[in-house]
Amino acid sequence: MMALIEDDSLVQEFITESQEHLSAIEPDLLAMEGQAPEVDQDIVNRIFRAIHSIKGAAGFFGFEKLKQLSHAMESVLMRVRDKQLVPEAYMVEPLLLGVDKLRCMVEDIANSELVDCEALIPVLTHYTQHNTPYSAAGNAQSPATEDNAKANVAEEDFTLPFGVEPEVITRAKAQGNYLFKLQVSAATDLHDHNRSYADLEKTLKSLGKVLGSNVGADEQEAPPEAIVLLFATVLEADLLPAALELPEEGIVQWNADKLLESLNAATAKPTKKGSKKATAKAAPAEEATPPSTPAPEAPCATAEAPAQAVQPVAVAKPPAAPAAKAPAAAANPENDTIRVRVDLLNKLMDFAGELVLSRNQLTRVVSPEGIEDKETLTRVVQSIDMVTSALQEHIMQTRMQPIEAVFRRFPRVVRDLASQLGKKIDIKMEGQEVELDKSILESLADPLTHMIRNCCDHGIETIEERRAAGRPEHGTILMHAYHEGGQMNLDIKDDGRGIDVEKVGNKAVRLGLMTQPEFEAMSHQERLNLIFHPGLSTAEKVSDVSGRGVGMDVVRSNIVKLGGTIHLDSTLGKGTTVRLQLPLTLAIIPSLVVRVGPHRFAIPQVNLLELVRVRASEIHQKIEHCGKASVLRLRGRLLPLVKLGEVLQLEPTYKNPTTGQWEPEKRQQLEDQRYADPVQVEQIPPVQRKAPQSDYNILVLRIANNQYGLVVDEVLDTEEIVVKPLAKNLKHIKAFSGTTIMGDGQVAMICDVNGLAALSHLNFSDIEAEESRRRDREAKRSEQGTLSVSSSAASGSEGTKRKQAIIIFSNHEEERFALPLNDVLRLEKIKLSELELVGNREFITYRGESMPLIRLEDYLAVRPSSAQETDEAFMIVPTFGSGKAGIYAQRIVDTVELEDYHLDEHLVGDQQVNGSAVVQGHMTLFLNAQALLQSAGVWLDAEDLLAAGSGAY
Amino acid sequence: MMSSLTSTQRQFITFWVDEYLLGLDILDIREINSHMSTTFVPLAPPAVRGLINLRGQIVTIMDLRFLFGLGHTTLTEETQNIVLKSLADENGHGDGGNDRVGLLVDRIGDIITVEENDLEPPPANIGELDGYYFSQVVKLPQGVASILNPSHLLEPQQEQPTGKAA
Repeated sequence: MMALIEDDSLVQEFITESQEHLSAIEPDLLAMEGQAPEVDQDIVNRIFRAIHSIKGAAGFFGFEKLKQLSHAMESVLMRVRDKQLVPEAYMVEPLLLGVDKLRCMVEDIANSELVDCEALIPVLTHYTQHNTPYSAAGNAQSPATEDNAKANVAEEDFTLPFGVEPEVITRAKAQGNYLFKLQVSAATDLHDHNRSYADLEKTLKSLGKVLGSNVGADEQEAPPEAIVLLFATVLEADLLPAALELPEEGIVQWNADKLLESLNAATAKPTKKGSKKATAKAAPAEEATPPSTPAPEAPCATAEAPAQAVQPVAVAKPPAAPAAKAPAAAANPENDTIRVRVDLLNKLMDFAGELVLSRNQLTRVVSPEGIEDKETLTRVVQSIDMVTSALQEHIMQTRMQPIEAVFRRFPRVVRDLASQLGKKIDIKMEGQEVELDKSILESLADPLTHMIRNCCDHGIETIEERRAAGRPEHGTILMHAYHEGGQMNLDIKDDGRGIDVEKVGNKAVRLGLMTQPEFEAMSHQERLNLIFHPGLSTAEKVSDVSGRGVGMDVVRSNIVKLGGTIHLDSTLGKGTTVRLQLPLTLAIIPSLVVRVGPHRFAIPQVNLLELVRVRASEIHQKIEHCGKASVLRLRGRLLPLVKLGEVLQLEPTYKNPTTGQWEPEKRQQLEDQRYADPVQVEQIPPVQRKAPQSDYNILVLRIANNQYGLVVDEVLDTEEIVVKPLAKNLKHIKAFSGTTIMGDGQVAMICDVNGLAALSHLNFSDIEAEESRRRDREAKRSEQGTLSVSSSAASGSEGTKRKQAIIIFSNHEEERFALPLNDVLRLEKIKLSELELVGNREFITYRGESMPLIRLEDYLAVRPSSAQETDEAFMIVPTFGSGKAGIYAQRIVDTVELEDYHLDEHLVGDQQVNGSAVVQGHMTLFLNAQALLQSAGVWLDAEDLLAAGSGAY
Repeated sequence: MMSSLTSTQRQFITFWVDEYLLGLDILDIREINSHMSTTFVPLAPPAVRGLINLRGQIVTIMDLRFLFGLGHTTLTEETQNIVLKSLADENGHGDGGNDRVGLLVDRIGDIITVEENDLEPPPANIGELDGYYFSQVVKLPQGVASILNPSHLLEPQQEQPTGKAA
């Protein structure tokens, strides 16, 4: 059989195509099942065509088993198409199993004959005859039908009432056609069915080719009573009667080779043969199909050793495909093919052409005598630079594949699991078009499958439980992929029972992983994360599907291996969301090159949020200690700091400004220097004290939901780096994820942002606790003396009248000011000590920009702010002026919603004030932010002026 | 040279680490180079001297002197990196193996041609050095050269100071 495979590349193409067909069939089958009994004909036709082309090609290459199975499936589908069969679950099931088996065969095509489908084919054949569910009892009928089918193709009598050219037969055979002799009775087959010969001919032509007939061109209207036709088609013998609407007896399949022999023998001697299957290639499979023996018998008695190995695997149903896939994939991963869009390929060709052009120019410019024309050289270098990056980018794109390739297996997984577990589960998928590097995509399949299984088994409750909880019987799993910040996020969300952290905790305590008090001290997030601990499963009992407690641990390590992170969020009784963050590609990544002492390191930019520089003079104010860790106060949040040099245990060094040599650093901590003995401080040369190199350069890095600051000596540059794996004997170093070669040819280590955090034992919960403590304290402080919550809640609940939300603040106890919240872009806490005075105006540095700060007393007849004990105040940034100026506010009193209030405009004459009203028993001045900013000389955009109307009271 | 070798002869390159004369089969060696700028790898086992870029491939340089427990090598004009062949080289792949290793040695000696018969099994220890690293010894006019077993060099038998290296 294998001898028929002449061209390996053709087979490869067949495999690729068949795999594509098969992956397209599966969702269609599921859709068909879902739509039953009213089935969309387009879908059925699509499935039918796909199976049919697999069958056709399999027949062409001589993959007998493959052909048999796809043929059986095709026959069932044909009945569905003709609406003789309603695709209920019980009959879609064997079709799906068939798809699995076909895939299994196609993936390891050389051993496709060894895949066992003895049990499946009778089931499928059953549905070609019956509409009732298949049962073992009904089994007896199917062998009989097979015998009938065989009897049909029995007698071979190569006599024809007309002549046929051997070449015609050869050609028909080469195209993968079967040959049939059709005997048609003009009276019973045509006339009685109200058909003319022309109708028959038309049908025949639509299905194949008429090679010859005894009906002459002039006899079309009145054909002879016994019509004999030689018909070539790709359809199988048992499909023909239905397709042609002719009786089975009239259709005889002929072996093309034998027919040729007999034709070539010139003497049309009838060669009577015993009942033997028509095509010689079918013979071995035929022998191996004793339909009445369901026992697992090797298909070929002479099957080689692998037969034994493959057989049991192939019998098991769902795991069959992956198990059989493994050896094939391991055998030649390099022969893997990838589909590339033609327009992309054309672009690559263009760039290649351009590169050659640039090279030619370069060789001309740089002649042996030297560089002739520096300007041309610069231009050529620029163009090479451009072409290289474009080429790189596009080549990377060829590796990008839509995530759909992984997603599309899940409807099937969910369907099977749901029926196995007796649950109702829908799966929805969004963002299938999001593209990912092929290698990432491939390693994503297993962890995702695991998580989907988790959702089905643990997440979604049983129908009864859901009903009892008053929720829809159908559980829903949502998979959503989307891009965010140069990464891909993948959310897997179920609306199931959620994770019971108490239960997880109990188990953890019982297993001795922690003590009860330890568990109680944990945050919700930490408790959830216990799920990732190996050996913990919340499932009450181990099931087929999952619950052995090795799962999420493996999932996490797989995701981390890909350079991704995993985050869990779950509410009891509401559902669970798992968020994966993954890099889009592994091979080339943009990175930030930093320096610590004389060493350079690359930090992947995907993890980088921002860069912060703390000047040497401000270190003491901005960097605090929380436990053992240093933290930076960044916009009200506490950011734990990690010193790269310390984590990597580098000897602290500094560059001696006079010698240019790296020398060991003697100071312990830069921020400690203020506490140092003043005499010692005197001795340190002034260069070292406040020089820019003493500034803290902080990279704010993101890991899962946490952030930390990495302190480095200097940020050098950004560079696209090619990631090279770590050598084996360096793999254990958690701090690095790889190595790379920099532009200057030197090797640099690529830092692993997660690894660095782990190595420095960052404890985010400490920081969080400290932060919430501070927040509470501040909240308490600002609550004092105000009636905020009750008042705003009361007015807010009242009705549908026109409302205006305002913010009330005061600088002096007896004066209150109001601004509509619509006019406020931001509210910022500021430190008075950070104000800078330029001329008679005050400025504050915020996000790297200097902003003028407007004090109301400078422009209005109001009292200056009263003396205060704290360093803190607020800055209200109005929407006008695009946030380029702020209004000083000593104390924020409240935010209130007002309805139909009346502004008294006569009381205050200033144009910066719209009027006054009594709010919460105090007279309050309503400010006109725009006028205020204008009088303060803050430049306004034309747009702002236009928008100004909206802010009027 | 190579052509004049008989089937029973083997060629070794000799080099010095501290006071020891060592040898490596020439067929195990990819190339020898000197003074490439080496990138220090923090937290690596102390025997790892660093990484070099050998025409686009990254090679881990091991400090032989440290491996033998003789402290770190001081770089001089004479120190050289002997880059060993890796599995990937033999398979003919360009960039398949990421485990290219080079050995930092104090000084390179001569290339010697030795009859198979003259090779002797190594004693349990050679001076202070553990016999584990050696496959053979051969007597030469300038002393006994101990032939290194490259695969043993890369997979040390006992635990390294940092723990789970290898």
